[in-house]
Amino acid sequence: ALNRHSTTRSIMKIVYGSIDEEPDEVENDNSDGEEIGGLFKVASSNVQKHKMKQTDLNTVESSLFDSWNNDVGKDWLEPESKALIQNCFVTGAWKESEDAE
Amino acid sequence: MTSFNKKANILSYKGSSHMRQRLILSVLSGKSVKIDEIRKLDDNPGIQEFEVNLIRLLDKITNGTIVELNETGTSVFFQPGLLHGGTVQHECSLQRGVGYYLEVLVMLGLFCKVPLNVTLRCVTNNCLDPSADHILHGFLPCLRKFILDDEDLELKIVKRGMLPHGGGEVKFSCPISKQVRPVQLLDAGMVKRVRGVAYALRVAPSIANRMVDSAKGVLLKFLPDVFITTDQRKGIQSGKSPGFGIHLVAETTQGVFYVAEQMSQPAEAADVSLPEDVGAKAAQRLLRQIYLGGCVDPAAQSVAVLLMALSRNDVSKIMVGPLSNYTISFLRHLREFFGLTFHLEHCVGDDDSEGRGSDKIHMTCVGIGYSNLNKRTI
Repeated sequence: ALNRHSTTRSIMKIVYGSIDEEPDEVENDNSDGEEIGGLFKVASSNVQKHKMKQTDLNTVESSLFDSWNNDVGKDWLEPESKALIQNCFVTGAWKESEDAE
Repeated sequence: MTSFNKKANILSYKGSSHMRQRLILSVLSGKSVKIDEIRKLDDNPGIQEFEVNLIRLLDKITNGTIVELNETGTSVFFQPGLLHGGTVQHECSLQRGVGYYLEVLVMLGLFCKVPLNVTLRCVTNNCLDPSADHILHGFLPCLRKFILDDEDLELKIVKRGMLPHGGGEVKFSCPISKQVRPVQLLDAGMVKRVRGVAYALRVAPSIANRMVDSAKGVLLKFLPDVFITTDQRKGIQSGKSPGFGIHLVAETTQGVFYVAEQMSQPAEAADVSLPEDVGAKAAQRLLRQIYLGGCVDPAAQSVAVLLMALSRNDVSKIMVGPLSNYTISFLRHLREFFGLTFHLEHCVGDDDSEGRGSDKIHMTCVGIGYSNLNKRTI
C-alpha cells in the first residue's frame, strides 16, 4: 500500500477515478467451466472473479492504516530504514527556515 | 455499484464493507441508505452482531431512526433520524474494539442537539480497531483543531478490558458546536517527545516494566525524551480477561500526535506473546507511523476529512501521509453523500525532504458549511 501512493502520478484518479465505471456484468456460470472426468468442474476465472468481488464487498472495516498484529514490514533500526525517518525527529537535521542559526 | 434514487432520497449499496461510514454519512446528510447482499455467500451470512450493535447505538443518539432488516439479515434499510445526543449507556459488542464505536461518536458528537455523554462497556484494546488510548491521544487532538471550545471534550478510561471477555468501560463526552472552522495544517513539525503507557491486567505487574524497557531500547536510538508509565489496575478495573499491552504516542513540535499500540494475544490463542517482543514491536510500529507522518495521526485521517468537508464555507488544506484504504473509501462516500470532491496532490519541490518519511499529500477542499441544525440562530 505504501508504494502505490508514490508510484502513481495522480492520486485523484486512484481515489475518484474508478467509481464512475460500472463493474462488468458477470456472465452465466454454466457456459464456462470445463468438466473433468464428468464429475469435477473447473472453476473458470470468471466465477472466481465473481467470488473475489463478493469478498471485496464484505471486507472488514477498520480505520487503522493496517491492523496492529500485522508485520512491521521493515526493521526501523536498520541503517537504510533509519535514514528514511531520522529528520522527522528534533534530533535530526532541521529545515533551513526553522533553524535558528 | 452505487445508485441514487433522487426522489426517495435513498442511496443503495451492496455488501457489508464500509457500513459504518455509510451510516455516519447517512445520519449527517439525512439521506437514507439501503444495503443489500451483506455477506450473501458467506458461511455466516447477513449482518453481524457488532453491526447490529452499532445501529442500536446510532438509534440511541438519534430521534426517529427507522431500521428495517430482512429475515436473513442480508439486507438493511436505514433511515436516519435527527441527531439528539445526550446521556447514553451502551453495551458494545465484544467482536470489535471500542474504537469502532467511539469513532462514530467522535464524528457525530459535535453536531448533536444535546452534548454527548456516553458510557461504553467494551473491549478497550484490540488489534483491529483504534484503542481507547488511541482515540484519546490520536483522534481527539485532531478534533480539537477544528473547534474553538474544547473544554468538555473528554475521554476517560474507567476500566480496561481485553479480549476475549472484555469488561472495559470508557466515558466519552463531547461539546456541541454550531459550525466547524476550516483549517490549514501544512506543517507536521518534528517529533520532540514520546510518551506511553504500559498496562498489565490480571498478570504479573513486572510484565509492564519489561515492555517499557524493550520499547525504550528502540526509541532511545532516535530521541532522548522517552517516558513510558505503567498502568497497574486492580480488581474490577482490569476487566475480565488477562492480558497486557503498550501504547505509545509521539508528539511533534506542531502538536501533532502519532500513536502506536501493541498487545498480547488473547489468553486462549496458540502462540504466547513475550512482553519484550510486544514492547519492541510497539516501538517499531510507532516509527512506522512517524514514517507515514502527516498533520494528523494516520488512523484519524477520515475524521479530519469529514470535518474539513463540513466546515464553514472556506478553503481547508491539510498535509497527510499516504492515504489509508479507509480514507480513500471515505472520500468516495463523501462525494456520494454530499457531492463534495477533494483536490489531492503530491507535495512537490521540497529539497530537504530527505529523511522526513513518506511522500506527503496535500488535501484541499471548500467546506460545505454544514451547521448544527439544533444550534442554528433563527
